[in-house]
Amino acid sequence: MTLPLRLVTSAVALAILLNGCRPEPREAVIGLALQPADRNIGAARLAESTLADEAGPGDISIRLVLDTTIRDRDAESELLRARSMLALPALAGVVGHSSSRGALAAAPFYDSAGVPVLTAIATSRLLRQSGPAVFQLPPDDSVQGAFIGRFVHEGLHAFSAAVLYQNDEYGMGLRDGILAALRGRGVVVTQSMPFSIRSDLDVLTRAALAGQRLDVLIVAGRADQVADVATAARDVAPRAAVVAGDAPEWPELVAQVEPVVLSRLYLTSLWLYPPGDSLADDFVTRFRQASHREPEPYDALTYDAVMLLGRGIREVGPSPRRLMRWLRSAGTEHPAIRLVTGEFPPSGPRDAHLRMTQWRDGAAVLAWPR
Amino acid sequence: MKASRSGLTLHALVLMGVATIVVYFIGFAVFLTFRVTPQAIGLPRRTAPVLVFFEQLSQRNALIESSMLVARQAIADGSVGRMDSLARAIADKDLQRSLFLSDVPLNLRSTMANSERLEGEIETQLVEIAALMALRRLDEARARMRAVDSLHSDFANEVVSSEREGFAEMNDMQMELADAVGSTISAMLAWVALGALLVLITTGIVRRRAARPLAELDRALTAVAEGDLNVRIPVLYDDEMGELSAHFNVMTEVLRARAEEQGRFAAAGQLIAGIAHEVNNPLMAIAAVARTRLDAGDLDQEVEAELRQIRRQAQRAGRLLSGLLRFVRSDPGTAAVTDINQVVDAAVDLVSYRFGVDEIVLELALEPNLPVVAGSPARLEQVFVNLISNATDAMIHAPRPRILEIATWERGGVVGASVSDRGGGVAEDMKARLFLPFATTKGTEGTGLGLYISRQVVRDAGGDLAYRDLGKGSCFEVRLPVLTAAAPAKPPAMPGRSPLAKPLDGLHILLVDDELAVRSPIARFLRRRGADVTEAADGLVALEMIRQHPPAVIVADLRMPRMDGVELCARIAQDFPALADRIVILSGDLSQLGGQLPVPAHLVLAKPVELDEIERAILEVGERLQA
Repeated sequence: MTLPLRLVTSAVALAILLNGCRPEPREAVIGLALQPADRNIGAARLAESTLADEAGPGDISIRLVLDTTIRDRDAESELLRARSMLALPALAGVVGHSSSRGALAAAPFYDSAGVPVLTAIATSRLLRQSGPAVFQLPPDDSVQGAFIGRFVHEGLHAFSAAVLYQNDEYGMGLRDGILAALRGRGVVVTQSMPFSIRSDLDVLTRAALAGQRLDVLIVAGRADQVADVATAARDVAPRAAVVAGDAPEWPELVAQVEPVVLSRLYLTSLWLYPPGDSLADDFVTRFRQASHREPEPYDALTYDAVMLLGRGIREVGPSPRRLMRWLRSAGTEHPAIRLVTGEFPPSGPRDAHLRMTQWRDGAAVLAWPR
Repeated sequence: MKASRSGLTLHALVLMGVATIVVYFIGFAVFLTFRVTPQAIGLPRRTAPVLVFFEQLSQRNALIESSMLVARQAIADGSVGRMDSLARAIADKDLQRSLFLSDVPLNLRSTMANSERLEGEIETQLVEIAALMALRRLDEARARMRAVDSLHSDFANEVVSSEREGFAEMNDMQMELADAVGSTISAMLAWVALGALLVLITTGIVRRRAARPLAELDRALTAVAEGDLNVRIPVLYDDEMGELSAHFNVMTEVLRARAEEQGRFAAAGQLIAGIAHEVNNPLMAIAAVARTRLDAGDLDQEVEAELRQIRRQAQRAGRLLSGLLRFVRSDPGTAAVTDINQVVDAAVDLVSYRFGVDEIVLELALEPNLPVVAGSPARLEQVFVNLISNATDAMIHAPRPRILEIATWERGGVVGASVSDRGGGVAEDMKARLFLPFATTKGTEGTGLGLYISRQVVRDAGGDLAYRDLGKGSCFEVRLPVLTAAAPAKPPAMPGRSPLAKPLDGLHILLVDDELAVRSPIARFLRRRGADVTEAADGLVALEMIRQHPPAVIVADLRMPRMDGVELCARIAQDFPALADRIVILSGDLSQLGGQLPVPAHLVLAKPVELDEIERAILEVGERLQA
């Protein structure tokens, strides 16, 4: 081989070697695709702090970044939020978005970029079909809907029910699960009505309950919508129970609904603090200290989402593609990861951690299953 | 000749060339695939979801409009049931959202989400209208209808906006494809230019590394075929062609050396033949004088013995010279009836001078009455000379006794002759190459052709030459088929002396020879035998004598000044045709006749010739005369 050819070959080999030996960056960023006003941001920061405490010498340092300039929740804002996340340097993964609609709208962005996004709150079952980059922590609305249907039949022993649902991915997803569960158990569904944030829920509720002997009124909506429906139902069907999905939070409802209405209200909870679980105990203790309130399910889920990504980064490094592969292979190529709200991926029934709660004595208590 | 440059081997160059071609075409295909195909495939793939989205929007718009129409009519009619049916239809609608079309371009997704939000709002408003109508609150229902109209207007604007953005997106995709095609064409031209450059480079390399060296080789081979062994090929590169060139140069060098050697041999042969020819006359004179004196009788016993010794040694010298002449002259290899025993004897005579010096003990075991074979005696004699010489060489350093065994036999229709020595044998690595050309153990002193030619000669005669390892020594065996066809009789034996005291009585013989030392004793012998002999020193004198007094028989030498034997024969045939068949030719070098014998072959006698043989030939001519 002539000398020039040798030199060229050696240079190419050296370049390849150097590229392979290039040291990995020692910092990783987890994006928070949440609204600045979201209450679960505190849980995310708590997770960031926990990861920092757990870090050993040489471990990659993990930082959370939230874009506080985008404040709205509409589709366009969610897309902007996604673009903002993807522009972050050293981005390894994203936790968010706040809603199923936002997560669905933004999913193609993450797929194109090859960045994993972990949804802590969005429950639309369509997220599972939205691309390989989207990972869902809580059980989806079809599981929740079936759980609610089971509760209505087995817990409340209802014969008839009406369903009011928000006319979006969340509401319609719950509706489908609920209707399938109810019809499968022989519960008569008297009404199935969509509503929007502008709807007059008093009208819709009265119309739904007019002339009906109703055992249960199921509401798939947010807190204020549940409050409006429950309040309207008190007048028309005072004996009917009102069952809601996971979207509303007890503190919000407590502030809006009268105690008498509250007593007939059931909320689906994605997680209920089980004392005795070491991880949960540690989380709850630290959360109380940091936030001065009890953690809600979305707090625990958001905390778990950040911790999950953090542990993945510590194991496989800050590369988004490697992190995505690690998440996909959890439970097969490496063990499932134990979290506050359960395992990832879940090994048992998908609704194993779902709880139906009621408000008693100033706190949310387990109503079903006992 | 060392290569002027080291470089890649041709093999490596070919591999690189093939690899370059493969990479070029694969690269071309990959380039096209990745340059144009994504856009070409992407265009329909990316536009399809947009078109589906538009179609769905259009369908939803139509559905909304029809729903609104139903709602207006229901409100106008106060038809609660119809409204209720509409509400149920809306409520039962499946969760179908364009938002879930993941292939919709990213810039359309915002518009898509807004339009779907508005659609949802319209639907829920219609459901509310149904609820209000169920509650008999028609005025509120009508008011809601106006809100629905406003929402529908927003929806329609979103649809228009979606379409505008969608068509802009598709236009952008088409532009991308057009740009890709355009830049691909430019890149293709560059790629083609690169290909042309590669072709030029490859052509140059092929020409420099293969075509030119091959042309040189062809030129050199042609020159060698035309006889020029001095041609050399320059060794330019240290590759296969360079090796070939180097081998060619070595080959021509070897051939040149061999040719020079052959030339020296040929020249030596010519010289030897010339010398032998010149020595033949004095030898014949010595033998003839001795014979003449012995025939005269009345000699002292001692003198007689010495004369006989002189005659014997002269005859022996003559036989040696004859054998030498036969050996060095090229023989066309005409097959003749051959007695192998005689051939072996002649070969031994030629080589026997070495036996004393090298202390070789010869053991001959020649089978008597050996059947004849067909072959060239001269060439077969060369074979045995070669075998005996090799055997002698093999025993030079062998311990004594150095026994050389030569045997002949006949078995099963095959005549065999073996030459065996007690030397060191043939080395293992030489055995396989023994009969190949240029295989020699004698370094530069040997041509390496002896055994190769010997075997060829024997095979030409229908037999074969084989080697047998004796363990301590070697044995070479010649096998030839017995000549069983109607063959001429064996060569006539040497004529004995005529029983008559003067068998040539009364015969007028003209003796023509320029050498007095040869002519005188022959003349005296012939006179003693009763012939009337006249002598001439050359052809011209002989012609004159013939004119004056035609002889009965003419005995003439071949090489004479002024007019040699061939010209004399021609002149006699022309001027004295009756005498044309009465000529006996004496010649020291028959090869000079070139196969064109002026007289019948049995009347051509090779010097040194016995006087009795001259008498026999003359008697034969005389008998024909009488007949």
